[in-house]
Amino acid sequence: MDAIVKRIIKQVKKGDHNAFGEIVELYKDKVYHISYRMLGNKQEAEDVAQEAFIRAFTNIDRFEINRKFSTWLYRIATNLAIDRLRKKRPDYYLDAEIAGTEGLTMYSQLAANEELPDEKVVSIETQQGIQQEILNLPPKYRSAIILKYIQELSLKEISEILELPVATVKTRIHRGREALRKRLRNG
Amino acid sequence: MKCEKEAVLLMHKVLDQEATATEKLQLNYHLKSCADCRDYFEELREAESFLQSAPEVRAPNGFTSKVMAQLPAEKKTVRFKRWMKMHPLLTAAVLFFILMTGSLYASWTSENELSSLSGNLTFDKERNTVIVPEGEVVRGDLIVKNRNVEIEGEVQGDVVVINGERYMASAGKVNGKIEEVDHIVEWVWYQIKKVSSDTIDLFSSDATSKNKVP
Ligand SMILES: [Zn+2]
Repeated sequence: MDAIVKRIIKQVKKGDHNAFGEIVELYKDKVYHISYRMLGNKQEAEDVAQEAFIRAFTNIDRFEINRKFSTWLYRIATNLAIDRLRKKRPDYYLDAEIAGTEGLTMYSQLAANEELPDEKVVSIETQQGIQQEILNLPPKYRSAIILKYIQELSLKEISEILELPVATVKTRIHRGREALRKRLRNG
Repeated sequence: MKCEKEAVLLMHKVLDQEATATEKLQLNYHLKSCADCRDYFEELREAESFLQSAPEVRAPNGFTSKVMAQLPAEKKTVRFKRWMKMHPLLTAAVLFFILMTGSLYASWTSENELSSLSGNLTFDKERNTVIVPEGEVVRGDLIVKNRNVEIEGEVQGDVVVINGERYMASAGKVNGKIEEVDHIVEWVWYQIKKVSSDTIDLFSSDATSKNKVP
């Protein structure tokens, strides 16, 4: 698989549109899935996923052929999704760091008091339930959780995608798990 | 929960599959004696399997073509190389004709010469169009580059229009295939430069009568 992708990418680097079409076919579901889980909205997910591929194409010269293409592609998609979230509602996601409480977000403070702002009754059996729970995670935990559990990537790969140390990725996954545990227990 | 920190850290380590055998035993041992931690661990595992149960999501229909439609225009050379790969026979044929005609008509350097030269064909400068006049018969193939071609007479072979338009008059007749080629320009250009330093605007090739029309 990697060898095939490498060969196709070489064609893409020469500017071959058709070769890039093969790349889109190979990765469209995964990239769309990441975007959808990050944003929770089909239209936005499609926009972001398309944009990710277009950026990959226009920046293909910057991609080093010996690296893993999916890592690079998922990084573009994740960053675009996070940008989109920031622009949409900068403070809605309760992700702001509070001065003097290093690493503690408003979210975890609220969670500690067991008073989450979201009053919606969530049915955990439904698909919407899962998506809703993922969306309730602050984006920085959300991306790590999605890559780990939805895409089933290794911690090392996630750390490369998010450009964070493995230790930080672990922390985010732990916090994501904790947040979800609390919500599931209360739901 | 009393034993929070240490036990919870251990739980996450186990869930990350980074705990040693000893640490796993240590956690199991603790869970046996501590109901709170047992519940806690169970909840974490439920959170995990909850996430893992998320169904696959597929990209919507037409996704790829939408992406492709938004890509910046492809370089001509790329299109053209791919075109050559897809049409090896035609590529070889065109190359052959160019080499042939290249040596035959390397002296055609201007449009005037061109029109006088091709007595059987006429050239409409204003419309940049090579015309096969009514009643004329071109035996063999007609290849026209960077010009339009209008066929009022008859071409017994194929007509290849490279980077130009083709008009057929109602009385016009082509016995062979008609190919309109846009991609090949640069390659043709390259080949021409190799064959001759002159500029060749029009090729008409006829294996049997060297383009002389009776
Ligand atoms: Zn305990």
